[in-house]
Amino acid sequence: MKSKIRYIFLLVPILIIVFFAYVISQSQNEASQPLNLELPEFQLQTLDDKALSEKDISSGTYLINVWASWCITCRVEHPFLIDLKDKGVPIIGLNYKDNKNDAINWLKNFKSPYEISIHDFYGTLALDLGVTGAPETYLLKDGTIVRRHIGELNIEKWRQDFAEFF
Amino acid sequence: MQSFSRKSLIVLFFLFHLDSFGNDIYEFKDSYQEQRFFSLIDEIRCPKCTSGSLASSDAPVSKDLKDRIYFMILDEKSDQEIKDFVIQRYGKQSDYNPSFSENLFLWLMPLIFFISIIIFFGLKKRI
Repeated sequence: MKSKIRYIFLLVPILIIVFFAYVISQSQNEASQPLNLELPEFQLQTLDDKALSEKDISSGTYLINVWASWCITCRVEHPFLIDLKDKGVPIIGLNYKDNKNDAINWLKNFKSPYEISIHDFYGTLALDLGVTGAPETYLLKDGTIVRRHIGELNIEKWRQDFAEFF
Repeated sequence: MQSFSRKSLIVLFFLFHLDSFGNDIYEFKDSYQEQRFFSLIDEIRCPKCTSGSLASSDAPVSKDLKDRIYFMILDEKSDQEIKDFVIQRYGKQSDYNPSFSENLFLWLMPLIFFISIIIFFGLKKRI
């Protein structure tokens, strides 16, 4: 009987190790995160010089893609975004800390996947969204950010985290 | 004499020059605000780095976050409000000084781990 009780004390550290292994494996898969963040207030210009605020995009479901002409991975991601656009997914581009002319030329050269291109030169809206760099993709649903993906958006990540919303 | 003053001018030039790009200049209303700022940027993790505080990072996002924290302090926001702003956007892992009571289980886990092992081997000797 005593030896059985003894093995319960062996089980406790094993469970602790399993728990930590699970937590670590989960944290490594955290590139896509569910969020519940209200779209912050902002007043910015689009790349074609139109004023835009959070009220203009507060209803409906959109992808917000953070990109820049200096971002190499954004170029890799670009054909997939064009595919999404062709399938009717509305994408808002958040041009992050970029020279406006470089951004406009980039879109002219490679074709724009964006319905709207917001020019966030100082990264203020990006900071309010929790952007760490480019590329990043957010899912905006009726004025609330519900998903975030850090890094290149591809078919696997799309199916896993975003497709269900469109 | 002339050569000394020329040397002094060169030294002074470099001293001022180094000072001008060495640190971002944040001006506070009082030393308490300054103390809070430096303590917060030490306690908040750089979102772009594998490990390291905002204070230790020159990443553009860290610079932006430091500026935002500075303006939030000037705007009379509390430390908790500032941390909540960061945590809501960059996750709980952004806080290098998490509350003890919320993480009691994690803090006690190593203790439970070692006590269980000690009891396991202690019982073995008795049996």
